[in-house]
This record gives sequence, structure tokens and C-alpha cells, in this order.
Amino acid sequence: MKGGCLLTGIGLIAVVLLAGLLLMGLYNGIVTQDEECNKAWGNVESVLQRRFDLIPNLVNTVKGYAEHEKGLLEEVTRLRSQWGEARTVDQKAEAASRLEGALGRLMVVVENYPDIKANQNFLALQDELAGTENRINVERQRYNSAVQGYNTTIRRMPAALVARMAGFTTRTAFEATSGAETAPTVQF
Amino acid sequence: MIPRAWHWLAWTCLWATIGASAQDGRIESDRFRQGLQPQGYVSDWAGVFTPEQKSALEQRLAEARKTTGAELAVVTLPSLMGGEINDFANKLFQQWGIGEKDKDNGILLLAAIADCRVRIEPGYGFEAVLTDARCGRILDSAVIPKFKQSDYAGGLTAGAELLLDVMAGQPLPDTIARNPVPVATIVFFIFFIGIFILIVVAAVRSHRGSGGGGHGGGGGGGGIRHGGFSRGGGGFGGFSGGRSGGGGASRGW
Repeated sequence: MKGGCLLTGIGLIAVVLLAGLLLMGLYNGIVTQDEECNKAWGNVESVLQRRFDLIPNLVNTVKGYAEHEKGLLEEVTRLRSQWGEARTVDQKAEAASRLEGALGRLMVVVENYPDIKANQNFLALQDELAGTENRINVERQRYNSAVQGYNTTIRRMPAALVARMAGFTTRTAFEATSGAETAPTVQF
Repeated sequence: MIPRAWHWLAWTCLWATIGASAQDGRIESDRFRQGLQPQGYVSDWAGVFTPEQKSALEQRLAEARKTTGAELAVVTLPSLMGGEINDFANKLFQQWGIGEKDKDNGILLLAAIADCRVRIEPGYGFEAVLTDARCGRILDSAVIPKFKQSDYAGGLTAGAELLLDVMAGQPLPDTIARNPVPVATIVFFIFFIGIFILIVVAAVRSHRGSGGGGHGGGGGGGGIRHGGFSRGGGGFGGFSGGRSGGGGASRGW
């Protein structure tokens, strides 16, 4: 039965190979989605950085017109540096949310100062800030949907085993502040 | 002109249902948006252009596409169906893929007439030349003054002309390549499939002994994804798969 032995051996090899391929496919699928999350988070960080870069200019412009809002301006500056110091994804998301709240309040308060609104430089800054907030919202949504896809994959059955063996854990979405599902845009 | 009453009716319906679910407006708006297929570079669902105005603008935009490669979509809607313009514009941009796939050199000029909202959203490739402040200035200087006099076609045409200047005037920086093809994975799989075929062939041969004829295994084809499409020729052939990231400016009037 020389032929039979050979066939069994080949069959076994084929089964092992196929199982290996299947596991590899599952593993690679998880890695791909994990990397997509990382890439999406990179985009979120780059738009947050854009906001970070805008703030000094904004604060300086507003300062000249609105002496009374010194406290709020200081808070914005303080939260900005907090964001700059944050290291982990969760810390950054937290700091970004607080900064967003303070900036939103500042832009509402500014409405009471007609002089600022006549300043061309301020108007341009206002557009840049509104555009930046919207970009943050867009990249946040994309990040969250990448995270959702990844979490779904690693919690569903065949891939869940591979994920557990390889130590993949669920990721946290970056929620918008105050439950607003639309961009906290600056009103005109 | 869209009757004002229509706007109030839509508004009332929206707020009446908001108690039941705050998401209703968005879902309806999403569904509405998903049904939108471009009519051309100009898609005039609000009916603010005369046929002559529309074809003249359409021709200008098609020419710009041919000479610069950049795509400008001018879209009018009666209403956003409860949606918010920034979100709506960004998602419509993604849905249609305005601009070339790797250059992301598209621009969307969107006006929702009854909602009194207008927005310019540039693709990633235009963010450097078409900053948010510049988008705002174009809206303030060219579009809004005409919109205030209910000259929607005039405002959009004037805005589009300024955007065309931007499209023609500046060289476009190529945006960084996104999603590199996983060559290693493909090679790996071809390698494994090759080994598998070899084993099978060897098994069949040895099983049959030396007498049998040889088999030749054929390789399998791989699937290739295409992001967008664009036909040659003069007319509108669909947008080309560009992306945007939420930049630009919005205004009300």
C-alpha cells in the first residue's frame, strides 16, 4: 500500500497548509484593520495639530479686542498646552474634547465684540478655525468607523480566536464632545 | 424659485419627529444623499439655472477638466432634508469621488436653496491653494451678494469662475499615495498556490507511475479594484475618485 501512504501524507500536508493559510488570512485581516485604525488616528492627530497651530494666532487677535475675556483666553491656552503634553490616544482624545469646548465658548463670546468681526485677519482665522473643526469631525468619523470595523472583526467568531491568541484587544472610539453628532461649527 | 412654504413644511416635519429620535433628520438626509447621481459637472436639482446657463457652465467645467485634470462639481439642492451642510458636502464628495484618484484635485460647490446654506469644499489636493479663508472670501465676495438678491445662478457662476481661476492658476501638488498595494501578500499567496499545485501534480504523477502524461497547471487571475472611472471624449463621464477631508467654508444668507 505504498500509494495509499503517500496519498494520506499528501492529504495531511494539504490540510495543514490550508489551515495555515486560513489562520494567516484571518491574522492578516486583523492586522490590516488595525493598521487602518492607526492610519486614521494619524489623520485625526494631524488635524488636531492644525488646530493646535491656529490657537496662538487666534488668541493674540482676540486679546487686542476683548480684554474682558482674559480668563477664557488663558483657559484656551492652558488646554492647548495640555493637549501638547498628552501622549496616549485616550489622553489626547480627552484633552482635544476639552479644548474643543473652550474654543467653542470663545467663539460664542466673540460675537459680542463687533470690532473683532470687522477685522479681516480675524475673519480669515474664523474660517480657518471652522474648517479645522470640520476636518477634525470628518477624520474623527473616519477613525471611529475604522475602529468599529476592527472591533467587530476581532470579536466575531473565527477571527476572535486568532485575535485572542495574538493578543489583539478592542480599541476605543473617539467620541465627539457633548454628544453632538454634527460639527461644533462656528456660527456666522 | 423654491416656495418658502416647502422649507417650512420640511422644517416642521423635522422638528415634529425629533422628539421620537434625534437621528431621524440625519437618516433621511443620508438616504436622500445616497440617491443622488451626478447630472454632469453641474447638477441642478433646485432648478435655479436656465438650460442655457447650465450648458454654458457645464461646458466651462468640462473644458477645465480637459485642460487641468481638476474637477469642479456645482450642485444645487432644494434642501438638505434635515442634514447639516458640512457633513452633507463631505459625504457627497466621497460618494461621487470628485477629482482625480491620486491627486484629489476636486472641488464641490454646493448650495441648498431653501436651507439658505452654501459651501465650498476642496479635495485634499487643493487644500494648500484653496485655504478655508480663501473659500470664505470667494463666498463672501462673489456668491453671497448675488444670493441675497435671489440670483442663485449668477452667484454660483461667479463663484465657479473664481474657483476655475484657482484650478487653472496653480500647479497641483500630488498628495501622498494612499493604500499601497500589499505586494508581499500577493507574492506569498502565489508562492503557496504554486507549491500546492506542484504537490498535487507530483501526487498524480507518482500515483499513476511513469506511464501517465503530464499536466500543466494554469495560474489563477487576481482581482483588481478600480476606484473611479472616466471616459474620454467631450461629455461628462463621471467623476474620477478624488477625496476630501472636510476643509473649506460654509455661509448662510
